[in-house]
Amino acid sequence: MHAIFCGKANRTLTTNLTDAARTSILAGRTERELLSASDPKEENAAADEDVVEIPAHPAASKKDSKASGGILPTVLGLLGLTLIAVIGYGSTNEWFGLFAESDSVPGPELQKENPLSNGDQTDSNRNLPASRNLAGNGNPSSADSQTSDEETARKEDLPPLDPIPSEKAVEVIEECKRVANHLYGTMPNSLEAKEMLARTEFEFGDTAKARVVWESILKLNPQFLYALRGLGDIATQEGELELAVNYYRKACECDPTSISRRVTLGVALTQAAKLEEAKTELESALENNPGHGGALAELGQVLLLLKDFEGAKTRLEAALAAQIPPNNIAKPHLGLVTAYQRLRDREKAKFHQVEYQKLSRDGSQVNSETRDYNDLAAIREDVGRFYVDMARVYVTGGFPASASLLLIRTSQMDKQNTGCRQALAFFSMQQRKPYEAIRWLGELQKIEPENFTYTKEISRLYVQTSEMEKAESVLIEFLDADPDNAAALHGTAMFFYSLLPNDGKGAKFAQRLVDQAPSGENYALLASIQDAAGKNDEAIEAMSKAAELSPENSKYSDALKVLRGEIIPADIPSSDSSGPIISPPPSTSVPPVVNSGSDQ
Amino acid sequence: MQKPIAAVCLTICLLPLKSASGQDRPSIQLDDISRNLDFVHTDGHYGQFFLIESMSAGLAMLDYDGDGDLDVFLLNGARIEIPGASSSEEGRQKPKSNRLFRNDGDFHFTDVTEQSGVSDSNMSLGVAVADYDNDGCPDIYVSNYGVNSLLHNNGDGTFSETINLASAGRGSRVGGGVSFFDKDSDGDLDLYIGNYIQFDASKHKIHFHKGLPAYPSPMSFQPEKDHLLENNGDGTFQDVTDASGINKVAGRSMGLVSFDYDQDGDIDVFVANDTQANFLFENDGNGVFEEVGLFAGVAFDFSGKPQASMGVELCDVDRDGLLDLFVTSFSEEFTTLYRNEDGFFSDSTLQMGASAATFPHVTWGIIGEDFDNDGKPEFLVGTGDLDEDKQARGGAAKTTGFDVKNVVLSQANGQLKDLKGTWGTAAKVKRSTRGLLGGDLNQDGRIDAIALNARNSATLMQNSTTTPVDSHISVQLVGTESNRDALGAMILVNQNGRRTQVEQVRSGHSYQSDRRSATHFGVSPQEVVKVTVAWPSGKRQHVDCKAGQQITLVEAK
Repeated sequence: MHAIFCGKANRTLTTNLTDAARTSILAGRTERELLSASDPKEENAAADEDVVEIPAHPAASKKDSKASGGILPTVLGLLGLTLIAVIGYGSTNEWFGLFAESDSVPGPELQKENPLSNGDQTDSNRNLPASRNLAGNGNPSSADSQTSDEETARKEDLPPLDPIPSEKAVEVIEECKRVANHLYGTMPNSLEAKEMLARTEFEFGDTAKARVVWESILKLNPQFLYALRGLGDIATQEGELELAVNYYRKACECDPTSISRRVTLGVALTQAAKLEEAKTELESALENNPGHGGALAELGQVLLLLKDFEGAKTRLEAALAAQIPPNNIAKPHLGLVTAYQRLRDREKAKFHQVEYQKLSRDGSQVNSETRDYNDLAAIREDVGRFYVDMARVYVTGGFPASASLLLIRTSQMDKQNTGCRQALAFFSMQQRKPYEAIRWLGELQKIEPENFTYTKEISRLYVQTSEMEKAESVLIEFLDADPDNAAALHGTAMFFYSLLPNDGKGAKFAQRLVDQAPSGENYALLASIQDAAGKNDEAIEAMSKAAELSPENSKYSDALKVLRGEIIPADIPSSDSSGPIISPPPSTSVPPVVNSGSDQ
Repeated sequence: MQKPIAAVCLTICLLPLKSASGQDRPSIQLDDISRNLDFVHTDGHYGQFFLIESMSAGLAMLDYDGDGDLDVFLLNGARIEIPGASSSEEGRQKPKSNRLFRNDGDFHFTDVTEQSGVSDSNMSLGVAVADYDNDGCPDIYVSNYGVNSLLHNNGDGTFSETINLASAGRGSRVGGGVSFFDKDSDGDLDLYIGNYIQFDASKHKIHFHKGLPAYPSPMSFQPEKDHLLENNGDGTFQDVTDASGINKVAGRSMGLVSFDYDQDGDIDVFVANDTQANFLFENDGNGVFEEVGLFAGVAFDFSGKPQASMGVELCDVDRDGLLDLFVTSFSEEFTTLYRNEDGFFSDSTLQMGASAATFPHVTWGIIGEDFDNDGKPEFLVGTGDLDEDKQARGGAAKTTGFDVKNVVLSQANGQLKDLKGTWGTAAKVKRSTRGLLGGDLNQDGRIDAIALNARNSATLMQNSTTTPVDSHISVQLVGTESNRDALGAMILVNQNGRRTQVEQVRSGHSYQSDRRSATHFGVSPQEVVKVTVAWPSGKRQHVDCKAGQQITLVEAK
């Protein structure tokens, strides 16, 4: 078992699709929660933690070094290390990140990546069944995985959806309530089903009922985070601010590593006029996350209230220096107007006033004009998010047809919902329907045209169906539209490196990549490609650059020595604790997907 | 034309007080005697959900007939027509008018709307009362959706609508709060007119929220610029909006108040804006204004969030001699106390404990008066959602809604405390308050109150708090060099070296409401009360009086 390389590009590839899917399906968090995450840094940190250990492709260590046409893979194969400085295109496991290998049983780590798995949940209270595939038995390669939706559906009492999405918001809401009740009725012992019922009541129904349901969940599991949060929200809404603090505090105790929960607690303490406690809480939260913009901004506000204008100034300036979601940037500026005004620095106060006004004009603030509110669209969007979450619960309970139905309904209602499409693409792949998966991915491409991940997945699927020209053309088309996209350059370079290692075609893209993003890891990729194409001088030049840019990475210097013939691979210590870096032996013969033929 | 002032120097008249004896300070008691005031508000709604409907309306207290007691003027709404829409008479109610109630004493009120000539069946929103022509009789300005009206008091119990070119052209705007003040210290009263939103009924589409018709967000509409009219001194006004500088910003104005926030001798204007930063227009002394709300600390709440500000009360909450602002707002926002710290305002809502009680509610009118005459103000806050259907739309807390109880906050140990249901039978009344005003309606030395409730009867509240005999004074000012109503005058009251109480005579109260009356102070009985008045003209006068007195102080020549 080896960790895949955790470079930036890799992280992007891994997280773009994975985090979103995980947000809406896997971890049970809603997009609303994701949006409320106060600090991108935290999200990045979370993403770092989420980078999944992928087992080496069984074939990788058996590759004939000559097949790759270069020295490095041989070296690394000898070292028993896995793969290169970036995700290997040829490793479908790695390539997909989100999507399970369709022609092999995923290992436990891969299941962890499965959007329908709960295996990676940090919430200790979510003791739900392990990942289930669409067929419901956790093994996509079993005979059951061939079961059609229709056959599965016959076994399930499906959610009571209207025949077509209603054009009336009230009916959309009513349908959502029916589905929530159906989910609960189907899985009466599932806390997650209960949680969805409570959330639906809170959003669209009776808050008192939501309270009752959340309280009943806490009786079964006093540490159920979402119930604690929900009850805290109700208490806040009703002005029971100290009660809200109690709930949020318990949530923090259950999930002590979450800084966003601690910021929420800090805000609640502030609202409850417990300013010193709020200060302590936020300062404590910042001890482990000193650059958390949201916490800094909140602490700055608390210090203003405590009339510590110097302290407030320092924290608010730090908040601005940190990464803050765009719709929160104005807040520190406003606080700084007050801080500098009180510190009698009128010039700086004026500066921040102007900055605030600019932001207001840019419309980046919450209170921008809201002229074209479309209630039906808003409700469909909200209900769609609920359905994606409910689908996850259905899947964990072994009701895949119900989940599918909800996801498809979401795709009908909300043309922008990515969560449902990601899940449906995943389902399609599990069912060995690559063209159906490509169709969903194509929709995702349209929704997020700047996101290369979908294009890459489509390309991989074409590789699996042995349609190499299409696999190549989708990549090239993406780069035609966005020629400087580093992720796309990287992915395309990897595509050629993995599939056509000897012709050096990938070098062109790798060269553009290093021009665009000159990092050690990118130069290492270029070196690998040049080496695979037999261009030793160019490989040495590129690897020299990699070693120069990342002197702390001894693997680059070791690889450089190998390329220069100064050492042989056996001289390289295998116990290098810095982790694997070197390129994967390119997979030249990606096995085609066994096509069921049903979605051609 | 200024009427002769009957008393040219200090006049002190002793008024009997009906309060009971007793030294303890019990909770305030406001009794619901709404049956004595025959008024039912309408906003004219008929299923179109015009935002303006949900906003209405304010009220006024004034002694229109000069008989010494406070009469009541209540604004009413009206059906908003959509131009070009077919108009069925079916189900259409007879237009209702603003109503003027004469105070006949002992909480008996007689509707004198028709004979007084104040009838107006427009959608009325805000009102200000002042003697704009210094003739000794309070006049009324009504801000409408439709043509605004300036009602001149003829001094004989009737009013005449004044044709005024400067104000007549504003009929298409949606009015908000209004305030008379002497912007240029020339002795006559100018007029600040708040405007709410840019609204065109012909473009109206019913807004839906969670599938049901609902009032739209104010942010669906462009904010409207306010207006400033300068009194020409001859009974006419001219529009000085552009010259004054207030046209540089546009807000969704609601409650507003004019006062000297920086104590530099001229009058500034605070405007509570809905869903955007509040404005504080600082007067340069010559009637030119700069908006300084952000620098002064009143633009946003403590978290930097613009609130849906509604009404405003000006009051020295902490008795530090500086006038603070208490601003009402939307649900899940605090009714925000901006405490004046010598030119800077600081959101002290949390520190003063004023947070939780109002947080769930939409709050509108607010009274900051010394209901129990203990020398510290209490706060009666009007609550109520926009309409009756919030629960039906789902997700609403049960503790809030359209028909809810109002809130009283009293002071103890420097903290504001929610009295919950203990403040008398009026505490049990569940309606949806908009305008809210305090005043001593039965002249017993205790502040009574009236709430204008949307789509419902008004709540008349008699103050029956047990207070010590002679535990108040009231101060009526008559300007001579200054404007006759003495708007802008500061009254400082001190007893035996204790903390000085400060009030400013002002126009613009609560939610789009106003009051012209003597200024009330709760004082310690049987101690000399030292009263100092700083007139707008710059003069200062001092007088000692006994507790329990109502004094009329005429500006010395």
